[in-house]
Amino acid sequence: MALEYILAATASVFQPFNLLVLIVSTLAGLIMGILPGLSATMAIALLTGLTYGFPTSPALIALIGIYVGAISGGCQSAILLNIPGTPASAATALDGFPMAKRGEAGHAIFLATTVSALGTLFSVVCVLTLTPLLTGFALKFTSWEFFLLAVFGIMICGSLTSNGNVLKGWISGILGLLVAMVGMDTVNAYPRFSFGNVNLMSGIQLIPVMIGLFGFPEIVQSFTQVDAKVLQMTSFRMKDGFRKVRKHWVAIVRSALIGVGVGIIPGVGEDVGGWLSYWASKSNSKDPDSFGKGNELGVISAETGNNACIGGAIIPVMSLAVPGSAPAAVLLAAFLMHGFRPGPLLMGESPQFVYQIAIYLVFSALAMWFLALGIAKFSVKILGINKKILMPIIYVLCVIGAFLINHNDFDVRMMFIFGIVGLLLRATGIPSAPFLLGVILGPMADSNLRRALIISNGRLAPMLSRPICVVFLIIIAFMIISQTGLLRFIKKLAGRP
Amino acid sequence: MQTKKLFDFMASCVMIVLGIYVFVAGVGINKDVGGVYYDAPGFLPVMLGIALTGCSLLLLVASLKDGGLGARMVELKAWGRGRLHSKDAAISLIGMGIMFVYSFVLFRLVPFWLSSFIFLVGIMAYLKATRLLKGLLISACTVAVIVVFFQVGFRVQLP
Repeated sequence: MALEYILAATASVFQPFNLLVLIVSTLAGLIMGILPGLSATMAIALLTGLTYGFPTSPALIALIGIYVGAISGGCQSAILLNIPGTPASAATALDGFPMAKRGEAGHAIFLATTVSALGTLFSVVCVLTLTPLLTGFALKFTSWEFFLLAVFGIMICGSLTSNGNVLKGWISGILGLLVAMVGMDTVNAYPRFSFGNVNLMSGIQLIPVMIGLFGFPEIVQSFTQVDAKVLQMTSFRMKDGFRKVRKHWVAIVRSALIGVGVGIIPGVGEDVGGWLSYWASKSNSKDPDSFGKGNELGVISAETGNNACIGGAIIPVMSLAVPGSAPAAVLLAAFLMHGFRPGPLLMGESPQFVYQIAIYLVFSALAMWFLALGIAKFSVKILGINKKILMPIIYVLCVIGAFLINHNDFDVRMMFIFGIVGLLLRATGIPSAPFLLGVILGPMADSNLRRALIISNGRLAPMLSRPICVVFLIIIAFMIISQTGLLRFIKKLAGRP
Repeated sequence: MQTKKLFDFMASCVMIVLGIYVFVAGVGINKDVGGVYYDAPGFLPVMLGIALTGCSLLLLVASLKDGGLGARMVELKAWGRGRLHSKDAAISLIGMGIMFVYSFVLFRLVPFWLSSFIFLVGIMAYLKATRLLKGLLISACTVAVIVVFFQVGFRVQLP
C-alpha cells in the first residue's frame, strides 16, 4: 500500500503543471531565503494565502517547495554577506563568511547547498518511519492529554525561543491563546471578546495573524536599513565538494539526527537545529579553535542541522497536529485550510498524505540543489536588490494573501493590526513563535479541557490517573519550577537550618 | 541593557492591565452564561488572565531591579525624547502611516489595481527608493503582473 502511495505522489510531481509549481516555488523560496529579512515563515504564510484557491497537490507542492527553498537559500547571504538570509542560517555565517573572505565562497555555497539537500533527504526517512509510530502513540490520547500537549507545546516553545527570559516566551504563548479565544466558543457557541462585531464573532483567521506577525515587522524594518556590502562569488569544483561531503559523513549524519530531534520538539525552529549541530561538531572536533575562522565543517554541520529540522518539524504536525517550528506552524494551518486533518487520526483518514508530503520533500530537496547551484552566480545580484523597492511589493502580496482567505477586507485590517503587534513584540524582545503556536493550539486546548472536565464532572482526578498526563504534568511543573527561579528558592529554604 | 529593562517594564505594565481585563471579562462571561464553572466559555480566559497577570508581575519585579521605579521613569523620559528626535522612528512611523492608509482606506474605496499602484508609488517616493519615473514604471509593472497572475491566470477575484 505504501508503495502505491509513493508511486502516486511521484507521478503527481511529474505532471507538467505540478513540476512547474515545484520549480517556481522552490526558486521563490530560495530567493526569499537569500534575501535577508524575508524568513521561511513569512514565505509560507504569504504563499498559504496566495495558494488558497489552488487544487490540493500543486498547493502542497508549492508550500513544501518554498519551505525547503527558503531554509536552504539563507546560507548564500550568510556566506556572501555575513547576514543570514533566514535565522536558520545564523550558524552558517560563522564559518561561511570567513571562507568567502578567503576566496572560497563558491566552495562554501556548494557544500552548504549539498548538505542542505542531504539533511532534508535524511529527515524524509524519519518522516516516513516516525510519523506512523507517533500517530499510533497519539491514538492513546484523550481530551486530557490533548489539553496538556497544547500547554506543554506552548511552554516548551516559549522556553526555547525566549532568548534567556522564559517569562517573555510564556507571555507570548498566553497572548496567542487569548487571540484564539476570540469568537464563538466551540462548546456553547458564546461570542467571546467580539464586542458585537460580526467579523470577530467568527474568530480571528490564522493567516492574517501569521502574515502580520512575521511579515509586517520585516517590511517596516527595511525602511531604515542600510544594505551591507556583498562579497563576490567564486568558482568551485564539484568533485572537490563531493569529496569533502564524503569525508565529513559522520558529522552530516550526527547533524541530521540532531536536526530531526530538534525539529520534533514543538515550536523550536531550524535556527536551534543549526546552532546545536554546529556546537556538536565543534565539541567533537580535534581542532575546535578553527571553528569561526572558516572551518568547512561548521558550514556543513549548521546547514545539515537546519535542513533536517524541516522533516523533523513536520513529524509532530502530521502525528499530533502540533507544529515543530514556526514555519511548520504555518504549514499546519495550510494543511487544515486544504482540508486535511493532521493528528492521530491522519493515518486512518488519509494515509496517503504522509507519503505525499515525504515525496514532495524529496523532490523539493532535489530541485533546491539544482536551482541553488544554478542561481549561485546571480546571488550577488539578488542580494543587491533595493529593499525599499522590494518590501512595498511584498506588502502588496501580504495584503492579497490576507484578503484571499475570505475575500474580506476585515482580514486585511487584522493583518495590519497583528503586524503592529508583531512589531511591538519584537521591540520588547518577546518572541512571536509561541504567540502563533498559542493561536493554533488555543481551540484544541479550550475544547479538550472543557470536554474533559464535563466528562469528569469537574474533577481533576481522572487526569492524574493517566500515565501520559502525569508525565506531561511532571515536565510542565519542572519547567515552571526551574525556569522561574522557584527551584533556587526551594533550595535556599532547604539549606536553612 | 537598561533599555531592555525599560522595555520589560513597559511590556509588563501593559500585560498586567490586559491580564486583569481578561480575568474580569472571563468572569463576566461565566456569570452571563451561568451553569457550572468548567462548562462556561469564560473558564479558559479566566485562567489565561490569571496566568498572564502572574507572568507579567514576575517580569515587572525583574524589570524593577537596578534602580527601581524611579530609574525606569527617568529612562522612559529619556527614551521618549530620543524617539521623538529620531529620524529612523519618524521614517518608520510615516511608512506605517502610508501602509495604514492603503490597508484601511484605499483598499476599501478604490479598485485593487489603483489602490496598490498609488500605495507603491507613494511609499517608494517617500522612502526615496528610486527615481520617480522608475518608481512609476516598477509600480505599474508590479500591479500588472499581480492582476494578470491572480485575476487572469488563477481567476481569483481581486477587490
